Amino acid sequence: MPYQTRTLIVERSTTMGFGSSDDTATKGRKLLEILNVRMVGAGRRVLVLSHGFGTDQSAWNRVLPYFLRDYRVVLYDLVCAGCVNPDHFDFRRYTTLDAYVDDLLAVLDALGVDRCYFVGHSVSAMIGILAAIRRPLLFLKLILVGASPRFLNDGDYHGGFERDEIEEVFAAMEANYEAWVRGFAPLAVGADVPAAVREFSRTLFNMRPDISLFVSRTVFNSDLRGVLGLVRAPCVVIQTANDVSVPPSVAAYLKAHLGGRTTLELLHDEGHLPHLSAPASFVHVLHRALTTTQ
Amino acid sequence: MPTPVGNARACLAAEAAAALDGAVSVALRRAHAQTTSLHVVYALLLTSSSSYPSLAAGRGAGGGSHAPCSILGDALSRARSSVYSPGLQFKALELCFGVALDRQPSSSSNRQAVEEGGGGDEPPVSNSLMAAIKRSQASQRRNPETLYVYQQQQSPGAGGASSFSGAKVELQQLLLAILDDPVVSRVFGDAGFRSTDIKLAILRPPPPMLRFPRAAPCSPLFLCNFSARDGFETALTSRELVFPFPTAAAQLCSDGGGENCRRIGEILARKSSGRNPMLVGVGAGEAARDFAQVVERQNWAVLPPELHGIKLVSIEKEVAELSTGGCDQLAVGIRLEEMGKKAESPGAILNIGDLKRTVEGCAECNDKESCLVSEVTRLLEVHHGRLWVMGWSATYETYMKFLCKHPMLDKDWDLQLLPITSVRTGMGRSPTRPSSLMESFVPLGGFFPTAHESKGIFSSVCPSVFRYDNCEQEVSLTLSVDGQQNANLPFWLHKANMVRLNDGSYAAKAKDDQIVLNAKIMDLEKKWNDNSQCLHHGCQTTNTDDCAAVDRATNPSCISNMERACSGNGENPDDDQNQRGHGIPYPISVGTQKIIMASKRISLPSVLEPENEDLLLKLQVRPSKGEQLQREFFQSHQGDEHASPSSVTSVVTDLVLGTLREPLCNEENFVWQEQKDHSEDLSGCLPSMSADMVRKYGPDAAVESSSDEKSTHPLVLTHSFSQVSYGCASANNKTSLISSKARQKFDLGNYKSLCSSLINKVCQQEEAAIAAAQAIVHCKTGERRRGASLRGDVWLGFRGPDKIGKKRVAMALAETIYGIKENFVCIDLSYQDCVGHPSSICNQQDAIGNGLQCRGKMNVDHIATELSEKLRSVVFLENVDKADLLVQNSLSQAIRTGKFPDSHGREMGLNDAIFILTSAGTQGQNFSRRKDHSSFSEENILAASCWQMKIFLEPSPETAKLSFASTQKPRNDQVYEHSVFVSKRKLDISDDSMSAKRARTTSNVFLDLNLPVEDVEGHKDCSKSENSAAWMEDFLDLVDATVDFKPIDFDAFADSILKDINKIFLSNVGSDCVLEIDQKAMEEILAAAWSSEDRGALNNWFEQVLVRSSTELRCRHNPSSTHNILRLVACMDTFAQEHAPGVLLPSTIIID
Repeated sequence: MPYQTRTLIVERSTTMGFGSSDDTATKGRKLLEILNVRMVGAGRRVLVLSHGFGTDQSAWNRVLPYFLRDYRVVLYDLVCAGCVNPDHFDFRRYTTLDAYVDDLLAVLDALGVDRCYFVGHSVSAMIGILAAIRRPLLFLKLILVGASPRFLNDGDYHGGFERDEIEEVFAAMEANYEAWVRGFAPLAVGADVPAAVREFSRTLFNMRPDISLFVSRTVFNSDLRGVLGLVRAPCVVIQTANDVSVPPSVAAYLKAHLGGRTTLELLHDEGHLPHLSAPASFVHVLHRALTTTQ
Repeated sequence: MPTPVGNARACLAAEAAAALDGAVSVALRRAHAQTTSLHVVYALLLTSSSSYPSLAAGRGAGGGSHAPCSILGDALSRARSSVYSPGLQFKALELCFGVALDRQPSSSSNRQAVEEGGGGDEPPVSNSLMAAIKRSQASQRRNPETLYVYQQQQSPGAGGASSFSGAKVELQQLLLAILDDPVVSRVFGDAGFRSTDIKLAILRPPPPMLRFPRAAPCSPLFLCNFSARDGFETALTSRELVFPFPTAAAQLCSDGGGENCRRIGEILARKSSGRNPMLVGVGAGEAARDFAQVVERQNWAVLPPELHGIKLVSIEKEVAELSTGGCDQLAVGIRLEEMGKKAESPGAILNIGDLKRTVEGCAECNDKESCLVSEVTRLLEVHHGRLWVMGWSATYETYMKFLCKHPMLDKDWDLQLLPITSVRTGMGRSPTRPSSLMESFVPLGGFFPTAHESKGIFSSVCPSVFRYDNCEQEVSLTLSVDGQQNANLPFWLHKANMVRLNDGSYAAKAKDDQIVLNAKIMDLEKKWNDNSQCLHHGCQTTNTDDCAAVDRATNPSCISNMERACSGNGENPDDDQNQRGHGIPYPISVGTQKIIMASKRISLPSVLEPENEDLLLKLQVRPSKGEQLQREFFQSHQGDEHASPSSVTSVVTDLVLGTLREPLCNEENFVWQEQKDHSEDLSGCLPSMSADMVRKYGPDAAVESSSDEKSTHPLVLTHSFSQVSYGCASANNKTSLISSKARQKFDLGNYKSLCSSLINKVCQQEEAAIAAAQAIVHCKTGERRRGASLRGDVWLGFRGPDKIGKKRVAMALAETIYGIKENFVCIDLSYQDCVGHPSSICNQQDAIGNGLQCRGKMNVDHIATELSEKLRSVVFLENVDKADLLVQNSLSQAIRTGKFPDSHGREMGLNDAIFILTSAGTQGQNFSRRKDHSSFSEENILAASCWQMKIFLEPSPETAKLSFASTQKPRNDQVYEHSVFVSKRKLDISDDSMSAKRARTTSNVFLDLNLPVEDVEGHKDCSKSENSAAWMEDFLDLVDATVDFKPIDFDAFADSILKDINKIFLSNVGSDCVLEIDQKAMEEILAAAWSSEDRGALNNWFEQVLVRSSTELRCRHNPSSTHNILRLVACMDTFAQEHAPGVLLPSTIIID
């Protein structure tokens, strides 16, 4: 593979999340505050846990204790999360995932993190991929949970959703968000774990409906398939047995197309949120994913 | 009961209070008895009439200040039906309310006062209005956005909770609640308004309604209130006053067109290297077109200022033609020349378009292409800083191919990859959607901002800043408020509280366990009273008639005596029981209930008279206060009892046992320990003993022994009671296998019997079983290695192979010590074995669904739950060496402190559990080496699943013999002579199976074929395993004893099975054919045999399934030929649908 050895020039700029980069430090601090950034743990290596759509950093609560000894864990909320002041969600800025990537990179810069392991769930997996493309040296490894480069079906590519279905979902969200949450949460959790359903419903419901809808649109409008090859960091794709949002073929697609060395970890547990519904096995796999040498 | 106006006013914020005052004055004027919702609305209509056109004209627009009261006016003007003229409808409304008010009952005293011209008392607030206020208060509490205000107001006070209760109702909320009042909505209906319309209009003020910054949007309503206003607010917080509607509409279609252009612009404007954008991604083409459009339309807003005025030249078409060969080189050259000229300040961008075209081009046009490329390179050098080049590619692969074709071009052209990931594919772009979101429920009236309203926008910036500052506060509040339904406290807080409570009781209980040993309980009497009440209650609820019947029909004094006996032991650890009783009444109530049952039996002719005297003699040794009572107790029975000489010895033994515990209790003197008599917690064997006695002397003796136990050693009272009662019950009913088993095996009730019973249950691993039994007896007789306090928990480590054997020993321990299988908790701490082979035979055999229970639970919590639920149990933790961090920490803490913390930090008492921790690793020898010369490894057998089996006739016996000769070991020759043997040959089927197996193993660790295997495998889990190994070593130092297990000789095991098969085969099929069992099939059979204790079921399977299929196969094919070879193979890709009875093997074999 001749081009694997090439060094790539990718965008190096770190656009700060909020405004110009004049007073980077204060902006960074403000951002840390806004996104409820926490850094916990006693280890040397930095582990970033980034939650997915419909959850917030509390989704990692059950996973977190296992990594406090060996890692410094960075937790933050995506700007769309329910526990971030919705006023900060700029509808003109967060039209693409790149804005979220800006946020992530700004957070890591503000914390002075120069290399880290990144665990991203769902939309955060996409964000992680883009961030790793932009700052290849920052990410030692990407662990992608329930990740999909593209949710919509497209020719041979089976993303799992037809456009019509998605529009229906959006219509349902618009019509009655609460009802949609009640229906969607058990579906997403998949496994019969009431606690996880409750928790996911709570965080999903915490999102302001319009933001939730807007983010879904952004996510479904994103297509990372063309850029997967730009990722240089080794990746681990964690795929559950029965994920409503991500069919197994997508995991295989990721493995085939991600530029870094990619391994696929299959979880026997069901559902889109293994860290909520099957924390024990998820922790195990995550541990292995983190410790396996790159 | 009407509420005084002052009280109601206290619940309201300023505006709402003003509205209420207005209502009160209306009511007062009309001399009404109460102030109702109608009054509030009427007052609001009067005060806000200035804001609706018809009346404003009449009254002169005096009240032009956009008074808060005009919320209603605004809403009405937008909600009104367009059928009538506005003036008419408002007039009608006023009239309707006037009429409605006229119907209100008046109060005589007020009327008088009014007539006299003085002011009467303020008419109190009616119930319905008060209810509305309460409703609005509640709904406001649910609304996070308004909360901070109240917290602000009240924060100097008592804080959170109280400030909620004191939430002041805003007018908007009050209005919404009032509109729900049927009386009010009827009046509105009379006037041609629908109150739902009005509500919507209130909820959704038109955008400029932001002038009521505090009029909070009502978040729990999801119908329609998102989009427009929210977008508007964001616009405000970003401090840019944008015309709301188009912005909001644009926001709703979340395509990243503008964003992409901005990014391209950023790259172009760079001073440093990498200033020529190369767009990569599915949306790249679109983004490039968008950008071209932006430049063409000179829409400079999205681009950095230095790029304003830039030009874009596209040679996309030319490049495309280049690849098809039909291009005119000259034309391109000319275009490029033009480019060079154009490239003056501020500059020009050369768009080469899709790289795919260049990549796909035929070989002959490569010359032209490279010519073009070098020309562009030259131009870029010449016009550095003023000329850019950009291109795009849908996939990264195309770009890489392009680079392969033109190496170093990314450097020469100074390219910057820009991933474009947002696709604009009409999602949410349907023109109707945004507008429908916007317009739904927003009537046009009041939609467009007017001059005076825009003033409000500025004023509203301030509050939003304020809100921003309160962000944190609000976030925390949001957290606590969202998700709560109607309760004052959020659901999970309730939950947490409950958990805390539980926690408390656990802690209390655990504490009691400790205190009990040395503390004196002063108010024992009182507690006992409580306790006995509780017990009686328990009896009555569970078994009322029994209890009552026993009370009446049999010896009533017995129970009271026993109670006194209990309470008498004031100084003794009996307190333990009483205190326990508070925490967990269940075991005691069961115990007592059984005592009652027992006492029924006591009243029967009994046999123990002389022994009782003996007993009493012994009892006097004890320095117990309960002695006296004890004596009373037994004396009370003596009348009924008859002598039975034969029973003497046995009972004496019992008594010795009873006194034996005494030193243990004091935990210093081990007088009897050397004699290895069973003691303290071997009271677990009580059921068997009592059962034994029951057998000998009938039920009465058992009861005596129970009371005996109770009086002499109250520490174990709870357990011995329940156990004894179990024993009694089961012995009586003659149903329980366990107790009868135990009865046979526990006659001596000592260590030897424990060993022998263990060995009987565990066919193999005798040494280990003996070692385990010895360790337990050793521990239970009181020599503790940990700490000075008496701890009932025992920790054993089982090391070595033989997973099933370890488990069997542990189960046998649980069964013999506690008498019932339910006291066995088995948790596999290794995720791998638990889930790795979900369908393997060995895992399925333990029907206790480990997986089901630990679903969605951490192992720590799972263990903690089991510990808290089961009073005494054998906790069998498999693969401790693979335990996760939390379990490791908790176990370490538990072994040191006797408390097991769960993941939330709650601590569970160990409840005198016996912990058995297994690990596959061994010290010293490495048993795994045996795998090398053994045909079967434990690993493979553990992995064997209940695959479907297939049997077929070997086409050519010669080859079979040949391959047999080459692969089989001499050991199997004999077997071959017996016409059944195991084959290791690879058939095509087993090839499949091998690949299936590979897939199975690699499903966990995916190997990258580009790398050496050891690179992936070698470092796997290095840090974790190091940590775990160190922890494991430390931990094993702490356990009471470690027991090493030997590996199972599977070859011998297989031989014995083959012999069985052979025997069955010979007698049923005949000696003229040979059965060859494939390795995998044999592993499957071995797994089934190993994991089930019942060889009979296996032999049944051989007869019923295997032999039958063989015969059938022979009949089908050429029954005449001799020396057939039948091959039995496992189809590893399919699992058997049905299991044969009693054994986890397929119920049918496919005949091929």
